[in-house]
Amino acid sequence: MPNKRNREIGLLLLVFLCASIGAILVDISDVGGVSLGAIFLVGILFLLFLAAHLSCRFFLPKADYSFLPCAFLLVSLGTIMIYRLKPSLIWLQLLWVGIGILAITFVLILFGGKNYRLLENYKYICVLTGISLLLSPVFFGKEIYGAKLWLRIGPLSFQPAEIAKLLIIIFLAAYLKEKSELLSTATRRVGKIDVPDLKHFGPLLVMWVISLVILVLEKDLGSSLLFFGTFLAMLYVATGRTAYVIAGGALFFAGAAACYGIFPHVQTRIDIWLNPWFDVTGKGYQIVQSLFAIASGGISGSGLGRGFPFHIPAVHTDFIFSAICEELGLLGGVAVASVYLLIVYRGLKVGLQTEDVFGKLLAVGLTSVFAIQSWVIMAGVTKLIPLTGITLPFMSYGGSSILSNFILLGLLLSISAEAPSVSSGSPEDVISDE
Amino acid sequence: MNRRARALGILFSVAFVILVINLTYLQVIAARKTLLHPENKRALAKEASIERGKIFSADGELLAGNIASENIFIRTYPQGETVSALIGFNSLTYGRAGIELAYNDYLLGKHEISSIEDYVGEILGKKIPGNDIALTINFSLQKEAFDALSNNRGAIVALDPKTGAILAMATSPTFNPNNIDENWAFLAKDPSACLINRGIQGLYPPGSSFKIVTASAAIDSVMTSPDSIYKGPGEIKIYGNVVSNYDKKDFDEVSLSEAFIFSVNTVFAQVGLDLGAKRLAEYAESFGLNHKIPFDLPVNMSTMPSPSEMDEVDIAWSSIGQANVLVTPLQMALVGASVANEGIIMKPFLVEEIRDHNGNVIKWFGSEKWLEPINEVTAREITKMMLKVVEDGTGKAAQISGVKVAGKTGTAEVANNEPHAWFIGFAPAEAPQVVVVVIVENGGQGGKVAAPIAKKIIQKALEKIE
Repeated sequence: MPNKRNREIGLLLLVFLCASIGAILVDISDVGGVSLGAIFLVGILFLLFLAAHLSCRFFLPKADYSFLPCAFLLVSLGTIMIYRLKPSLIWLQLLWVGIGILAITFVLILFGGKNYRLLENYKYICVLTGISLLLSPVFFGKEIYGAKLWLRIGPLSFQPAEIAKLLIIIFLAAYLKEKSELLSTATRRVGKIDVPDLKHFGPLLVMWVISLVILVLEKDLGSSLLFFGTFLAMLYVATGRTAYVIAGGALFFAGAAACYGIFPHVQTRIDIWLNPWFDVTGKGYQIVQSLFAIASGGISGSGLGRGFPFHIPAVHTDFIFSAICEELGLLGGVAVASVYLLIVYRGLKVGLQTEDVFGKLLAVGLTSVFAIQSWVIMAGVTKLIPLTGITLPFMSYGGSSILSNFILLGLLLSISAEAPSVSSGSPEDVISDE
Repeated sequence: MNRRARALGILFSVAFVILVINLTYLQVIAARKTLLHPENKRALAKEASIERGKIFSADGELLAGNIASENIFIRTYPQGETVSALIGFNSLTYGRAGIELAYNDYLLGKHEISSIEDYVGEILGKKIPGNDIALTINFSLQKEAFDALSNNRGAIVALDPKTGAILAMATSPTFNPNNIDENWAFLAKDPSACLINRGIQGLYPPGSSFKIVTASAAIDSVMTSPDSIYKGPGEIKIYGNVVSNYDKKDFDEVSLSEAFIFSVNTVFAQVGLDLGAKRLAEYAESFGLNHKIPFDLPVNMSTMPSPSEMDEVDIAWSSIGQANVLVTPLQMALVGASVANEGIIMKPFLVEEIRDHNGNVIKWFGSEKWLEPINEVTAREITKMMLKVVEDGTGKAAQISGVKVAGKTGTAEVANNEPHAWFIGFAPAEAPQVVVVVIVENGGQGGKVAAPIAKKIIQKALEKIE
């Protein structure tokens, strides 16, 4: 439908305009005169997204039109911030975005239309590769910022969990499609409540163990929460059994609580969260600096390029949201959060419109992992929940994160192209049909 | 399945709403409190990126400037210790003092954006330099005063009695503002209190220099006249407490004027007792004691005990500037200024004007009347007596050929140490242009130690003014 693609290019141009203004502001506020760096970067990014747009137009004209502009907005804002905060990394970041765009194109070509359903057949390969990747840092990994999540290949650090999450979601979607009926009907009554047979809690326990392994061996609460949360969301959508969700939640908290008691690094994380002001210059330094940055932003922020987010360690990766809040204020922070929610909304919508159960579950899973990941890190840097070391999708610096999120977007685009809505006019009509 | 996916959507939406609520709390409601935390170096870092306004003396000498270093400016003080007590310092670690503290907002340019270009520049993120400050200090006089103190502890204040403008204020020992961070550990604990500006924060017994106040009170209230005759024995006993003259010299019968010229304690003790505690305290207060002196920098309050706390012995000692009377050198300069300026004390001030970075004056500080402790006639009588002090009394060392110098010496007794040497003077007596106060801590006799220093300063001041 050319209509959708026209909307897409319109929105991309709009984002290009906004991002250009932001880039100009950063360029002229740079101490030491005018440079042309940020505007140049935004130009390159626009060309890259234009390429993605053209491949959509060419291969999958019916795909949803909102994903690319939203991603462009986040990527360009993120890139402008990285340019400002860590200029040495900017070319690498740009390279990864380029690779991500290539990946989207490949995904569209390979899995566009109904082709994504082929993935269903490879579910066991997916899960085995996924789990191996997930656990590989335990054996070969390198510890950065106290978490063991990275693999080092030559000069590049790679976070295998980012790719693993996609593979595991593909598996879960296929697995749950197969078993959903069984999992949701086989019950026995305990009192007045329908409770699934204990044997069906098996998969739940497996995922729970994997999550705890990540938590304990890789010292990463964020990824752990991410995997388990996504799993619970998919399980709930597939089976409709709140019992699973409640049991899963309880298990996770029990596991986390046990870890708190046993492992000092988990304990430290929680203690910092409960009272970062206790050790402002030591363990609480990072989160406290983040809180200073956020507080100094106020409602409208210091203006792009005019704040002092440099004080926060890792500001260009995990803490990029704090820098946004400082320089763009509450308005910018809420706007960015809204863009994430918008992607989540469109993602779930893709799931709703797809008739294929595997497609539905896959869309829900991908959207959930995206939602949980962005929420967990935004909530972490704002001290709403304990801080965890995961990246903010599309904004943080980090190759594996950018790549995996572009693939995720490519898969959602692929599924969206299959939705029947295309034959019945504008997508708005479809919403009311549901 | 779709119903459940929608439920999931609602759950995510709620989670994001909570995120936004928390963000609102952090950025709007709790922001102010968070930013006040001492570990938040944002404000200081931001201020370091602004080119701070320069500080000049009245004669155009640069007293505080900046050196650009990458993205920040480093404050430099080309005149080092000479004016450090007034300028203060600007440290990222230890904060600010002096003019740097008192006029911080002006120096950072926070107050006025003077032109449209600046306003547009501000929006575009151009850093606008702060405002420059011109002090009333005459740098060559300041240098003379600072050098005159050399290794002594003490202070020198010179001001224009007609306007209240401070022409020089030196204190010793002092600090070098260029390396405050490196030396802080030492400076903060220094037993000689070198971070203190003795001119406004040092509290000393005024000794005989306070006789200006006592004599003014007596003459202004028409209780006595300069020619009234008093008995001036070597010592008198008040309830068994001995008040004596220098070297216990017996003056037999002297006029009030002579008693002033030769600093006869026994006469002034009687004058004080005749005045009574209430009147003595009232006059002291009318000169500014027990008042906060309005000034650009924080001044310690000079104190006079309240009449109800004074018995006869206290009154006698207070009238000769001992016991519980404590004054700052600036306070004594204002006492001198009232005599020099027909009984009127002008509000002392240190900052003459503030200019934006283009050189436009954005604020100008004129002179203002503060107190009027005595009438014109009294002022003239006291001037006559002070002239004689320098002509043939205790203050001969302050004589300058061709200039009529009026003055009063003070030798303030302190327990277990040499007395503080005071001199309060002004010149030329017929049309006073400068009031000079010198105190040398534990320096000995005022006439021998403080008067010669005052002479140098007055000379220099008159030479500068002409």
